[in-house]
Amino acid sequence: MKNLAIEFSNVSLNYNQSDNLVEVLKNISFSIKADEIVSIIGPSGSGKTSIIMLTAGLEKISDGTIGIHNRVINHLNENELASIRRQHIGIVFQSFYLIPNLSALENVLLALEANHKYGLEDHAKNLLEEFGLSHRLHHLPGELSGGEQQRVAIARALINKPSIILADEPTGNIDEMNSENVIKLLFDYSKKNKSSLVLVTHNHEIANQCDRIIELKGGRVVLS
Amino acid sequence: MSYLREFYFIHQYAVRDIKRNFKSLWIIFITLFISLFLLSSIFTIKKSLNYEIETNSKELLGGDLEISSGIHPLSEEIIEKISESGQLSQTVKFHTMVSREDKGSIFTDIRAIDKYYPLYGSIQTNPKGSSQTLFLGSSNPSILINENIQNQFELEVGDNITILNKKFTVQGIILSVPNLDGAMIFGEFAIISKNEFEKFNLTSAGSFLDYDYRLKIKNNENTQPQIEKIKSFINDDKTIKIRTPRDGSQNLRRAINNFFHFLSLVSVSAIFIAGIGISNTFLSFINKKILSIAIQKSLGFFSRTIQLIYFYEILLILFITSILSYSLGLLSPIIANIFIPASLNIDLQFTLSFLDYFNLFFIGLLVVLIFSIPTLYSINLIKATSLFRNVFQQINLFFSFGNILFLIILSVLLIVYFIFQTDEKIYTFFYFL
Repeated sequence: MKNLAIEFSNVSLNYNQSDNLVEVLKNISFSIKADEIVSIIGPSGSGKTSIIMLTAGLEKISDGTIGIHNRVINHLNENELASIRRQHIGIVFQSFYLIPNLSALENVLLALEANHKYGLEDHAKNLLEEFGLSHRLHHLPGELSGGEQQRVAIARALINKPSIILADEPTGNIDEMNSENVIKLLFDYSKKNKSSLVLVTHNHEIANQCDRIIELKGGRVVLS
Repeated sequence: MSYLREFYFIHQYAVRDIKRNFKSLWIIFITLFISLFLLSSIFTIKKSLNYEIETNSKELLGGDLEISSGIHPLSEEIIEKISESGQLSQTVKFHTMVSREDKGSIFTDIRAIDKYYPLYGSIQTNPKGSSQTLFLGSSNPSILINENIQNQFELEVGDNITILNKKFTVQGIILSVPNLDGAMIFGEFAIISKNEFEKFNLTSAGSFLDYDYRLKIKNNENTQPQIEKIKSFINDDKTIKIRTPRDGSQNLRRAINNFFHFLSLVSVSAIFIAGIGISNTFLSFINKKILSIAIQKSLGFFSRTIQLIYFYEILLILFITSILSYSLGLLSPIIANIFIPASLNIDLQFTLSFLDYFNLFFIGLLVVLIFSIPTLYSINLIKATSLFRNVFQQINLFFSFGNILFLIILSVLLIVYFIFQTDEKIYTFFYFL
């Protein structure tokens, strides 16, 4: 059996929009190994984010199969997909998306609680301290800078030690210095824990630091 | 164990969320509180009134047994027989004109009482003890009047009024009497002694006369055999009516129950209307939470867990408001006592009862369920994909076949539950229909 974290086989994704069929992904196939760091690049609307959503089980494909750790997920129901998401996947968004009325620590703890892991406050505190946020534990997201918010979001994504990290333009809303910090955190974690990191980015400099680049254009893989 | 941990998590999350979002939820608090408080007050006052009537049923009737023989008095033979069972008190009620010089006349309900009256309770007067003066046999016949007559004739104690051309001296103002009737509270009412009624031959009041006899049974711990015995030798005469304390209180209780039933229906209707407000506020609250819910879903929370969190929040609000409403509702008899006319001689008391609280909570729960289910189901419509697209669409109440069926079952349950609590079942059913 291949040691694959993610496998897309002939995956198509279509939407019906005002009686018009919009083909977002057109019969794409690729795979990502368990400890591989891959960047997905391509112009806007090429389907990069759709790949992240499909991998996370948040969107249903129109055709093909998607495998996560050799398990086909496209026929699973919402609850089974949620289980896979909390056990194997950590997601980092471009806009951070922290819950506004929870503190930094509470936001991170929420990911543990989603996984039925309770009373691990020290574990969450340690991770946030590791990310240089020891002085921000009880601050609400609105009281944090963009870079700090993204570091909290990364801590939240990594607290469950996911085997797959999906990062959708994680540096899109932060300055250059914070971008470097964020990428370093993600790369370090991935290498240390032998996790797959799928990084959607427009930044070729960041993409070039990855093990492999998947380039999309018009919903097709043009480089893998 | 894991369910317990999950419950603890839901509890913690919900409590924290309520605390941090109180500004968005206070309308639900207030709406639920007001509607449950109204219901609680109505239930509490109704219960305490019924209790008061039940415990004072003998005072309300004025004896263990009341025998009304209409315009003719009972024969001496029957009176003798009845008297064997205990102390008998005779009263004559009649309606006639009472007048005062230069002040005109008013149609008055007069009760002529003997010295044994009342067998239970007492006549409260101002000045105190004036009722004793009725039987002193002074040269001037005495009368006790209620406040209505006093006000209309501008009477003071010692003034004279005229009944069927006979002068009576006012000895006191009646504050309350046992076996009360409407005239005492709302109309003109006076008491004279039966001796004077006979002495002055007021029997000329004719068909307005109404002879009543009340009996206080000797061994009144078990009055039933005596009552049955008396009934057995009176039953042949259909013009004679017999009432027990239970019969006497039943009419009043029925009247009270009907009135409070009407109030309960109004109150439940108010809860239903409040439910619409709760539903809208809750939907608006969930709409404010779309981002949080989408994040929770992206983290792997089941929709069911998220629904449970928000349902638990509503339950907590219901729990808090129902306890507050019930506690404050318990105080309503104290407030009601201020407004109940003293002449009714009613002193309402409250009693703590878990069942009463449960009743209130259960009605609140059904209403909350009915009006929050469409909102809770709409949580299913919130997708974590919004976080990637940065587009958050407002959600609306969600109605599927399943939840419509559930809502119908809950509504029927609420209506049936309410119908079974009332005496007027058909009326209540049609009201809801």
